[in-house]
Amino acid sequence: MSERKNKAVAVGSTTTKTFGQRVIIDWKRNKWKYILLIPVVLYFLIFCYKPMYGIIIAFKNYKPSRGIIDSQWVGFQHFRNFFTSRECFRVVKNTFAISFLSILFGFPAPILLALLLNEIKNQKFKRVIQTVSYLPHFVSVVIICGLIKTFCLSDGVINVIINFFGGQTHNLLEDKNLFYTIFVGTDIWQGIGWGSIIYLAAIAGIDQEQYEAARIDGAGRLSQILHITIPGILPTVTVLFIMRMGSVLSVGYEKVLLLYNPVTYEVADVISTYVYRVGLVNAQYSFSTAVSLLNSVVNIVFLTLTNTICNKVNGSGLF
Amino acid sequence: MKKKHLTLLLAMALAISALTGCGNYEDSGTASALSTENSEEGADAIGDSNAADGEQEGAVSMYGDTYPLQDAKEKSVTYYSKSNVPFSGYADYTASPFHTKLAENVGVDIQFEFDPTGTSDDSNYNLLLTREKLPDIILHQFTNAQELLDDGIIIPLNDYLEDWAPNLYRYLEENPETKKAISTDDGTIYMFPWLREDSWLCTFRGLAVRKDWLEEQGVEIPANLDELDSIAHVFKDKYNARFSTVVDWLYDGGISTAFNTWKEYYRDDNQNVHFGPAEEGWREYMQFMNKWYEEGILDPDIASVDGTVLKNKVLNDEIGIAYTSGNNVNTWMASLAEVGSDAEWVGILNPVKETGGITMLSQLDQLVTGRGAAITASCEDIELAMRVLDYAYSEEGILYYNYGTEGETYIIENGVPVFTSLILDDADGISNALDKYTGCQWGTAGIQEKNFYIQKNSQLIVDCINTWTTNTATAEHKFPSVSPTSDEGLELDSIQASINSYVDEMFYKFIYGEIDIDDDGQWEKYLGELESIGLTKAIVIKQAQLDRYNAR
Repeated sequence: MSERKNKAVAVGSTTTKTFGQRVIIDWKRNKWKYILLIPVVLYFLIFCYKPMYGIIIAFKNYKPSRGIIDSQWVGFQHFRNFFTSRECFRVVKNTFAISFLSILFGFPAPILLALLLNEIKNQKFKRVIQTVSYLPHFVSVVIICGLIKTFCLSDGVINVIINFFGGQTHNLLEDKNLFYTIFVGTDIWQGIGWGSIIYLAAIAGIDQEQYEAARIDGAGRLSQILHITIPGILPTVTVLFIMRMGSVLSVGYEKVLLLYNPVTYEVADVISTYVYRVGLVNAQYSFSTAVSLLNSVVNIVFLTLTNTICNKVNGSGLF
Repeated sequence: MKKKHLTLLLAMALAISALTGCGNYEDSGTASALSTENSEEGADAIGDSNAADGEQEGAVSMYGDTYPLQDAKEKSVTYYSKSNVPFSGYADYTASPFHTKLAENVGVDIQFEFDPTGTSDDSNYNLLLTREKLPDIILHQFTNAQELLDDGIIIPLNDYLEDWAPNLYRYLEENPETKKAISTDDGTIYMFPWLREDSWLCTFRGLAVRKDWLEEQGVEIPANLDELDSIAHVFKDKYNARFSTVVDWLYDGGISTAFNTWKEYYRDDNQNVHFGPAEEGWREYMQFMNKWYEEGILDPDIASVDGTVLKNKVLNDEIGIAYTSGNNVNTWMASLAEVGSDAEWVGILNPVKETGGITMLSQLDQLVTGRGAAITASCEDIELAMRVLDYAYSEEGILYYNYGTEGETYIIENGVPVFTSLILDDADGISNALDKYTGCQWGTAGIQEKNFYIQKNSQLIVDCINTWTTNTATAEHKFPSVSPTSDEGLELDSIQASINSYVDEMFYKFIYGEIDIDDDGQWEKYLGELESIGLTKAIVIKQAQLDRYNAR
């Protein structure tokens, strides 16, 4: 028996090794790669997994002076408070609305830009466009919102233009119907350049011979895009789409907080700003954690759902 | 070979630069770690006198009643403070004249601890509370004092006040309202409070108008609401100027004073609690604002105006009447003078319906805000800590905290302290100069004098505040700072947040005319909605809190 084992090890065949033996071989071969991996694994264990224990404060009435263990247990009280609050339906609806609009318009935008950039022949022009388009990404959201607020004043730039064409002026940020447009529009403007980078990289990875073959067969530029480029970057698009769906309920509160006001609460108030307002009243860590927990659960559901659908439809998914 | 070395060097440089982030957090940490043992004998002596509790007549004082304290040179006290943060140009408090001289004056080593620069919330304070050994003194905004007392984090001071904090004790005996305000409902005194000498110091906002335009039109400064209304029309017709204010301030002051209403709770003369937005006065206020909106007098951007936007509008001559702060008026006048404009802003009386009337509710900060210094259970030498804090309430301490050192930062002129050029001409500005040498700008455990404010600010601001405090009786009607119990806290907070959002939204719907304010049906619906959110319950809780407060 041991003779056979030794022989198998010496020859390097994979048929008759035990699990333990395979581990040892793998370790010997890839020792340094595993050692390189250790800090990363440790990072996730310490900073991502261990703190998960803190989620328990969502079920307690956490007070920093008492610590996590000694804080009073309240079960689902916070969740109940959230679901029975007057604003619950409204903030959830708004969060979904903003999120889906962002995905509907904001997700294809960088792809479109990447496809268009790919068509530019003049390299210098292309590079200029690229740089200009991803500069806004680096500007802080606070500054962007300051600009938006100034532009939207009743005598601000945008209204001056509207006036010039004979329209009625009013403070645009006080208009319920325009909030989503302004919000998603500026998001796209800020993120389109940066987002297109990864798609450009994917496009660059497509085999050039396919294009040649298509050209020989008489395909025009549009056909080439539709039949070669897009299918070529589809795996990348799928992965990014699934990840995007995984943050569908996480509309960040900074931009909404900076742009909304009591006139637009009906459409602009999202879960995070609602929690921010309630939390501000009395440092309600437990309540915020409870709502965040809810957020994360919904996000995971969406993530897995999207992944399954993509797997069925495309044959490729995240996991 | 060369390329390999270069790569290695680069990698090391990157790694080391990542470590530079671990920098100055040490300072705040070590301060408390260094808190030295107070001498054993001191602790025992106090322990003995504590044993004979009740009457403290015979309590032995280790350090005496005068400053600098006797026998305290070798001792030290740890002091975490949210206020008196050293001027940002100093590396730490040991370079700050105020802090070092304070320790000298008191006669003991005070080891301060502050939040790391840039902290704008309580994150550091909350971490502080989880330590094994807390600093001897914590200065903070105590909104949950009862909890901290119950959890044994801070200690009650009633037994020690008379003997070890004679200055504060005397002040409280002379000012029973203050004593009531800083105790909990059962009479426990737990902190050395941040106090202002006079409620004059608590007003800093009011209406201001363009005086030069009034003179041009030959109109008097308005003395009542109707006159204010007519000059608003004059401004609109002749100068196309409007009324504006920072959006957050629209709720508690300015025009609302004429209707004796505001957005919060208040008490009437019979000590009954009312919620402003549910009363007739609020409706009248909204009707008036709606009228101004339709006449084009109300700034249409009002819902999103902040300090900068307001200033720009003022500088562009777009505003004729503003509800603003004294500081703002000062800044605007300075900016206008810079560009050579003749514009002149002046504060006017709180609008009232009839000339000579008094408003019940105008902007007024709490005289006692709940901010102060408490002594923690980790403090081993209670007398020493109390003596350190009591200094600020002594005669020499009040002068030191407000004005600094005589001869250096102030001189006495006609019996009144006046700042010297060391403060007034400081390259970093008066505010920073005051941070370097004094300690009473805001929020310390001490008493701010009215004269300090007058010395510190320009005549224009002082005039504004004088005007704004003339015709108000808010002090008797403002809802005081009560101590909520933790059950009350839980119940009230979520109701209050919903109420506030609803009031905000409806306010704009009414004044923009989206919903007709004159329609009684709509008003009933509004009140009904407030009911269903839980307003009655909230008022009951608030009434209970007020009753407990009054019974102290």
